[in-house]
Amino acid sequence: MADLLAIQGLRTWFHTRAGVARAVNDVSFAIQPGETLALVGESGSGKSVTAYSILRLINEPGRIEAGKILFNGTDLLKLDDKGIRSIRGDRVAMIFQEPLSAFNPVQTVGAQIVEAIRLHRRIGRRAAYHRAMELLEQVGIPSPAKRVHEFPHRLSGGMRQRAMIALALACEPDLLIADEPTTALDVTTQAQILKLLKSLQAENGMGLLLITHDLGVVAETADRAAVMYAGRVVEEGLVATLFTRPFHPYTAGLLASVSIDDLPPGARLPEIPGTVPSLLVMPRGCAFAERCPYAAGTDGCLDHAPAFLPVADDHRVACFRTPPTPRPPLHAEATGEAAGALLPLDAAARVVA
Amino acid sequence: MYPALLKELLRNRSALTGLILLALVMCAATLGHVWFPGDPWDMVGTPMLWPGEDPANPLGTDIMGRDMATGLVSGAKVSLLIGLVSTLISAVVGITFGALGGFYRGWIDAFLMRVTELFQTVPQFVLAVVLVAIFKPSVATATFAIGIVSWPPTARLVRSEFLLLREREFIQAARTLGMGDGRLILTQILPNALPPVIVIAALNIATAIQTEAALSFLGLGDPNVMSWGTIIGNGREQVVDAWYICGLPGIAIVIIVLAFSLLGEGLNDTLNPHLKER
Amino acid sequence: MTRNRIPAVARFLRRRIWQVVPVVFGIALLNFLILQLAPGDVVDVLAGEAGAATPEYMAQLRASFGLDRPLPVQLAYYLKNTAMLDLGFSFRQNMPVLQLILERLPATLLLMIAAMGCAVVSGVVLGVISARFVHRAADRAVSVFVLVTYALPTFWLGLMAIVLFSARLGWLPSSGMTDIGADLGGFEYLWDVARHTVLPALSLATFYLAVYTKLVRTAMLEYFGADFIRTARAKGATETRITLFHALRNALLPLMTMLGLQLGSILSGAVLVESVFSWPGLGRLAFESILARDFNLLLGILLFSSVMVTILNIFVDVVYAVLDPRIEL
Repeated sequence: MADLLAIQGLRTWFHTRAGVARAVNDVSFAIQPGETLALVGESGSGKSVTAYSILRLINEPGRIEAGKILFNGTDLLKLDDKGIRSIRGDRVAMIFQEPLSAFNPVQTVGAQIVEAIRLHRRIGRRAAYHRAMELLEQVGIPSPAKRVHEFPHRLSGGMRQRAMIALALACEPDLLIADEPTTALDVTTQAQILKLLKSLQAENGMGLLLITHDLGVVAETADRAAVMYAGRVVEEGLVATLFTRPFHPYTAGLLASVSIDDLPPGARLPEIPGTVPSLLVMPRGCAFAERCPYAAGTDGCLDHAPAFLPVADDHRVACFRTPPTPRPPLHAEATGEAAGALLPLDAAARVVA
Repeated sequence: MYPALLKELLRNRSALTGLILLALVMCAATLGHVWFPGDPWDMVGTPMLWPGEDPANPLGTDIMGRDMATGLVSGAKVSLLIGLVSTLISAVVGITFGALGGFYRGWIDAFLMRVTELFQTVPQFVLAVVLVAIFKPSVATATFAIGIVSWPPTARLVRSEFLLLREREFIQAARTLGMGDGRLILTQILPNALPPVIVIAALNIATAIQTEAALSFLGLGDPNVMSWGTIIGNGREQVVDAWYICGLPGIAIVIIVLAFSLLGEGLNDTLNPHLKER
Repeated sequence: MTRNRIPAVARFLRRRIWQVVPVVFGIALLNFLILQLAPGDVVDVLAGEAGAATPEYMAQLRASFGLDRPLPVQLAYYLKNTAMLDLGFSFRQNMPVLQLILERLPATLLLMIAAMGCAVVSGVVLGVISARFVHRAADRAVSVFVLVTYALPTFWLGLMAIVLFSARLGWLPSSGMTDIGADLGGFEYLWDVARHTVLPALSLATFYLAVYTKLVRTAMLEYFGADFIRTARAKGATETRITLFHALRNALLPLMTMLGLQLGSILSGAVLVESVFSWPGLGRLAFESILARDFNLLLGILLFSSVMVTILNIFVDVVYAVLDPRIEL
């Protein structure tokens, strides 16, 4: 199947007074139609910047330096202003972490949805309002005919996020980017919103890029996950594979203390000793080397950045410890054994301890 | 701390421009009488001489034949004096009201804020006009009146600073050490609340100078003192024929107001860096 | 929605109008204090220099102020008179103070509204341009313009405008509100008034124009980083649309707050501008009363203008609440 979205070698750097912060550095991944990809990482790992780069919503002093963002085969980075505007909100839509601040406080919810519709569809105001009500109903907002005239501050947090989803769905996008959509909500509402996203995805068949630092959300919602660390994707694969047989010591560290079976929504990433290197002064070698128990004594880790290479079907890792086995790939189980031999989970647990 | 602050201030473009302009005006005010001695009220030449027409009166003469340059030097002195002293008065009143209200809160605060609101509602310049007119125009009444009408913003600012600062740990610590209210206010809280007050004071000086000029322009200036507003007021009947009589002191006002606004802006950048634009 | 907000506005006005009472009381108290502290007898002060007023007028003043009574009683008299809107009689103008003020009020309101409209509109336009092209040539030019206009004394600017636009260029009239002697009707009258309004209104507007430009620029720049602007951009809205419908719409809120805070100062500015352009309003009346040393009239103007600021402030609050749905009236 052709990729819905393929990001290749994306670099988004921030040119601050203190120097160049390489927030996103050579990031590549792809999303298939109808698929959910979770982009996981700690805050500052570059996951949100990656998401905003897709629709070119990066503000000064940030700049997309290199790479391709192929959406249905078209490079979004090559489009002119008008071209990218016709994609935004129409083919690719976004929802945000804070639904209250993401709505214009002085316009009704309905007016803001209507704006999203009428920016891309030639329909009258009345028809657009009708459509807005349908959308509100679709996302499970009770008495939409009344809510459509409500101002954002009058809705509860959960209702606001539902309205935000309605706004994003206004033009039935092919890809929905959700930037920490449940972080600002309480646990029960989180589960409802995730359920809603899943069911809407099943209805529309849209791709979903889910930005989160919440492993519970990943386990519950995503088909595949890409783990980001210090501006790079360090591991990518099916959620099932990643959670049971993580290759990269960072992923392993993240998962070690949490068992996948008892990951409730809202579970935060556990702490790993040490700190993320400053994006301004990136080490020459692997960014994780300083915190990695395997890097000590291994010159390669400190001198060169590991390449991002496949270790199995649909499983790629950037680590020297993992044998960069070329295709044809190993059998899935064999891969698991091989990985287990290289990186026993009890060792990964020590990363955390 | 202070030399470092001064250094940073000198590196700020606004502040530096302001300080240079201010230095020029101060030179004129303090050393001006060396070049232009004599009483600004003396009629020394032909009336309405244009600037440059007669080297004896380089900036010309007014409708009564008084030397413009001498008048402008006298005006610089008056403007600076009234601007600085009235701002001092307004700062003292504003700090007192704001500090007491913010520190004690409760009914004291409520009462002081009502008074502050009242003084904010009254059109400030109209009140200044009433005060100066009724208490007889003089440098003292003008200074006092300008000070009395311009303190409310300072009071509000100091109050909000105090409301924040009084909850801070070092204040609580000082309180548990048994420090009295007076010492707590003066030695602990006030020094920390001062930076924004200094900024607002610099801007207040600019406003005060404009107010003084406006009062003298309306004929409410000290009858024995030649200020820029007085010169403009006297020249206004002939403004069409000899616009320089009103024009020159006006330019002087613009320069000094510009100086203090720029200085205030620069102080704001250096003292409250978190408020700086991106 | 707008429809069901109208009764709310009416209720709000009814509630807020009572705020005028403490203001009147406060100013009356202040006026009384000023009179007591002023050098000389209160009647002498009020009537101006001795000899100008007739003995009958002095006696009438004495009686109405209860001047032979103890101080608290005098205060009660003063407050009672003020509460009944009895601002006294202007001997010089031979008319009750209140009537004099009310006659001059429309002209001042016209000047204030014209100047404010001008300042708000141009302040918004310049502020938007400045924010949209921040740190570029247009922004720098606007910044310099703002800096200079901020420093221009209103009355001096008025005088210079007369020299240039009335005397040299002969484009616009320099004094009064209408041409003296011309008996115009209908549209021609309005045109005449409009021509006379231009220079005074622009002179008064300049300072506030600078303030509003700066304010709108700062607010817009702040909003350009806001989450809802990012949402609008993610929807596919054009930069122009984002600027006008999202950022500016929200930047109008701090603008209204500032406008409300400055009403008193605008009225003060009107006093000066009116005396420059012989505009027949309250400011001109104040100027005349200074010249005539008619302090009773002057105190009346102070009281009345404060009340006017309070009332205008209530209207500004209503406009603010209409602009910001988060405010409950």
